[in-house]
Amino acid sequence: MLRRLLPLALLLLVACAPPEPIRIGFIGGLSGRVADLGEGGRNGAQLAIEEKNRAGGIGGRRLELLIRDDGQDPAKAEAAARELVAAGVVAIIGPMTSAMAGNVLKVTEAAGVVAISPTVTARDFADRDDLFFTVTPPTTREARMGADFHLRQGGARRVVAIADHNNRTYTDSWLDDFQKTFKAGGGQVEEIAFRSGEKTDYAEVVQQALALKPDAILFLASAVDTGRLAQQVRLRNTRVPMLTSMWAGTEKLIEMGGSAVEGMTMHQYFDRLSNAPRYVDYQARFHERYQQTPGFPGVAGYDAAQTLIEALERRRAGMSLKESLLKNGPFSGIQGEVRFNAYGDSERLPHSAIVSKGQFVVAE
Amino acid sequence: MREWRLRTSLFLMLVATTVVTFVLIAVVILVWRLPGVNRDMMHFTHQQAAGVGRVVEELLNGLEHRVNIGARLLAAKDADVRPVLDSLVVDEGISAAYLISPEGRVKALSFSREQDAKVSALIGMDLSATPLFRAAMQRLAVVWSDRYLSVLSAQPTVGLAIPLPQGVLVAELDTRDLARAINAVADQVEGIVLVTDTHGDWVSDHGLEEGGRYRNWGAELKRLRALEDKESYVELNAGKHYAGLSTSPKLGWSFLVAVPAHWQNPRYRTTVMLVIGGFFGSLLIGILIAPWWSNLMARPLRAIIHRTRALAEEGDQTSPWPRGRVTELNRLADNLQHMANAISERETAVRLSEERLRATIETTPSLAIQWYTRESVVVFWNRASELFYGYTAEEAAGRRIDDLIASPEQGEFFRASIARIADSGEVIGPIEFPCRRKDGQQIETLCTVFAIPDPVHGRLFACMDVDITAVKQAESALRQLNIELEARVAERTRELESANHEVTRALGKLQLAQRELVQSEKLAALGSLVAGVAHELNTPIGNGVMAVTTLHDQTAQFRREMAEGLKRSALENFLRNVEDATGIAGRNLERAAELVTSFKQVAVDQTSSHRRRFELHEVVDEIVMTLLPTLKRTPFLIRQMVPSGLLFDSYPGPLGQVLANLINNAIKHGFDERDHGEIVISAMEENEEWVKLEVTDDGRGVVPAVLPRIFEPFVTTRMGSGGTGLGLHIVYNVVTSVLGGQISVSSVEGEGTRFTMHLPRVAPTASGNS
Repeated sequence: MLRRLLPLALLLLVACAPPEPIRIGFIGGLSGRVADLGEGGRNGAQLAIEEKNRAGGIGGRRLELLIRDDGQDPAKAEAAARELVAAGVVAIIGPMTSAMAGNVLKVTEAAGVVAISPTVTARDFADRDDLFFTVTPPTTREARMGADFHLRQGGARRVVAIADHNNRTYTDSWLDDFQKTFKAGGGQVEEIAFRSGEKTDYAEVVQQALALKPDAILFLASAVDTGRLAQQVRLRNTRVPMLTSMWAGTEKLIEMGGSAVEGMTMHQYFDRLSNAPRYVDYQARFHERYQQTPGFPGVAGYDAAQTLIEALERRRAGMSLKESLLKNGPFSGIQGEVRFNAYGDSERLPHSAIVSKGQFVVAE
Repeated sequence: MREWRLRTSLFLMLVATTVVTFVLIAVVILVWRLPGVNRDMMHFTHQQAAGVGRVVEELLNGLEHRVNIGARLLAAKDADVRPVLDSLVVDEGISAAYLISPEGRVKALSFSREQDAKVSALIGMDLSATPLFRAAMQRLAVVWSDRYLSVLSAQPTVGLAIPLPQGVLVAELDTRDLARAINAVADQVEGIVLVTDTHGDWVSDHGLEEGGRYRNWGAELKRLRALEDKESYVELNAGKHYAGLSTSPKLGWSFLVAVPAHWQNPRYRTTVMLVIGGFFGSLLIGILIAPWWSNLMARPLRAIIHRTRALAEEGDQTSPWPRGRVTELNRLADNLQHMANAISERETAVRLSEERLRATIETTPSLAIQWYTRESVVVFWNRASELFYGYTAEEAAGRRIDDLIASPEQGEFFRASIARIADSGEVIGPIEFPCRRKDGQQIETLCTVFAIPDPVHGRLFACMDVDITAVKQAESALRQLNIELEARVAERTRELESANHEVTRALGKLQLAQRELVQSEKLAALGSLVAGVAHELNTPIGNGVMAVTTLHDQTAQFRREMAEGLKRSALENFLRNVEDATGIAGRNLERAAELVTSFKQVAVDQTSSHRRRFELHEVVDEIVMTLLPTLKRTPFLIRQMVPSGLLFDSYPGPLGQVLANLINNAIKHGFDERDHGEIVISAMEENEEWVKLEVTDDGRGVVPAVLPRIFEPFVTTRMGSGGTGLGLHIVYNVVTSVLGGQISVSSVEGEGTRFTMHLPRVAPTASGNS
């Protein structure tokens, strides 16, 4: 009798035991001065995962988000990626900054793990048939549009770029694209590099930049750094136009910059003031969950996670996740569909935005 | 059914008892204790969280107090801002303090970690967009900010803003410092401490895994807050934890204290481990003790079993029975010993009985016994059978009855009989069963067949035969004799019948003669009685007659004298004579009357066998008196020695007749031709019912030849000289039949004769009058 019941009992136990969750990794800067980007992305991804789990997971399996901080340190990012791969994640959402991407990809490519970054846009990683996907299109178009904008609108010919070389992959990529267009338009670009940190002397950096007599100043730095740098600029020069990259396009920019960032322009894929129901609804859910607005990293993080979830769901037997991501699109983004080209790069059109009265306002 | 060794079952019993007991206890402990542990731990975590919250609140209160003092100083002394700010900034507390103009520009500031050059670079920065400044300006009250990136230091910071007339005083606390302070408290806390900001993002922790720092805890905290303190669990470090939560009112920060839940919890685990440990411990103890104990219990039993086997297999009666410390087992041993002895005695008895029986069966000379199987095959053949049938036991064994002593038909009959016996259990026989001896001679047997139990065949059928050949022959001879005898008996009977007839006729004549003789004897007795009576009466009546005659003569003489003249003397003489004469006549007439009365009584008694109560001596007296006239003419004396008081309820007449006959017999025969003699009549009481009466004379005695026949009729020595020979016969008849007694005689010739009678005081009622 016992011998007959035992396998049955075991079967029941196995049947009753919850199935292994699907593990998904997240890597982002969650500490230090660029934490706003990382936290936003993390919040978006976490919300997407939580919502999916509430809806029953994928095929009855829960999703588990394993979150790691890269602390804006490539070595740390690489260790985090190794850790996540070892934990058996099916994919990694992240990293949030291009500077980390190289080291993370070193691990994920080797392990055959897909990485979907919400915010990495450096051109270095575009147009490569790899396992790296970006939700936000590469810097090329944004940078070109920024260059165009300033050539046409402001008539600026001499731009000084203040770039945070902690994220040099990004800044170089961005600046390169910008320069190409800007120089082609007859402009000139100078670069002042700094490294974001506690000891950063913002006044010194700004003085160096202003000493070059720029027609416009381009900030390629995080929102906090951009805000603080802008403060320093405005303390010394109230007129020079300022532009920045999407990197700084978070709420922190306005908090930190205050009136200093009024009139600052950027090109981004994200419209904070959109009335699209999908976005409004998301905003409400996000606020309910985090008591704050999502901002662009919150949306990008959600989009990355949502894309990953949909790709996992749509994946048919024998299909790799990469194939699913490439073939099963488009995926539903909060503000427009996420669509990958053959290299896994998102293709969307950015729009220009300007800070006006403490808000990001879409120009044009 | 499965068999267990005692040791095994005892072992299992002990172990099972231990295990079951402990399982029950364990269930009770676990069911009762574990929820208690859960409750305790949840309570504990809440206490701890509240404690952390309190400590942080105290810390913040202290800081707020300090900043308030600064604010008051600033409000009073508008000019000297910097020293006040400097005084606020200290290590490990407020990292920066600055004054913001109502427009949002930094007017003055003091840093704990920055150089003055850098400080001056920050003067004039626009902080109007910072949430803290906005909140302070809006509310015009002391405001604590959530965690934010300091514009000045770009570090995660907590700010305290106090609105002043000249702007807003902001004090910044590096969250790292705050986290250090909180950690100092958290170090004291047993468990994991997680501090999050308003959004649920990590601020600091104690004991949290790295992954936990980077996620947003908002949803979890919200859920826990809704639960208050009921069943508050949280998933932490990949495990379930009891969670206690408190919130800082100032910062809106949450302090989560978590201790591992359930199995991960040491107290929980200890409880469960104690139970499990206790379980295995008791099981181990059970397993260790049980074999020893069960061996202890089983050993004496094994010894008994061993001893029993020795008895059963080797018949060992002598070696002692094992004794141990278990009373019941000792009793069992005793009882087994008793039983063994009893069985042994019984076996001996049975063996002896069997030997006796076997010997009897085997050696019985005249009873042939065989045992047959159901198929009539011989199993046993006793010696008598050998003699009867001529087959030895060896020859007979294993052969069927019809191969031995019976015809095939008889064999069939025998087997059918056996089948019947087997079915009904009855006993067949004895029946006659003619058989054939080995030498072919036919013999007759009387055969009885019945079933007996047999361990091998189940049943055997015993046949017991008696050889009746001789009896049969004797029987036919006897039958022949009987036929002859019957003829002779018939002949003799006829002869006897005729003789008997003649005897009967002669007897009739004799009886007639006897009756006539008895009658004549009675008449003779009556005659002599009448003569006696007449004689007795003669004297008084004669005397009376003579007196009366004399008186008559004197009367006539007196008349004559009276005619001559009456003389006085003559008258007196006459009166005297009259008196004398009447006196004499009167006395004699009285005597006569007395005699007549006496005779009448005798006559009445003798003629009517009247039964009455009487005294013996009275009857004897009366008889003696009636006989006195007869005796007076003889020289013989009669002496009576009958005591008074011997009362009889009997027949006095016949008794008197007996006495009269005996006295007459003595006078006539005993004293014949003698000149003296004495008759003694004596009586004495034998017992309450019987009286002995003897009549003795000292006469001639009886001739010995006559003595035995003396009571027979017609026996007399004086036949032809007056005796009838019936006197004593009558006596005998009366004594034995009427009076119901016995009479015997003893006599010595020449010395006398004694008749002894044993008489019942109460005569038998049914006596007929002969």
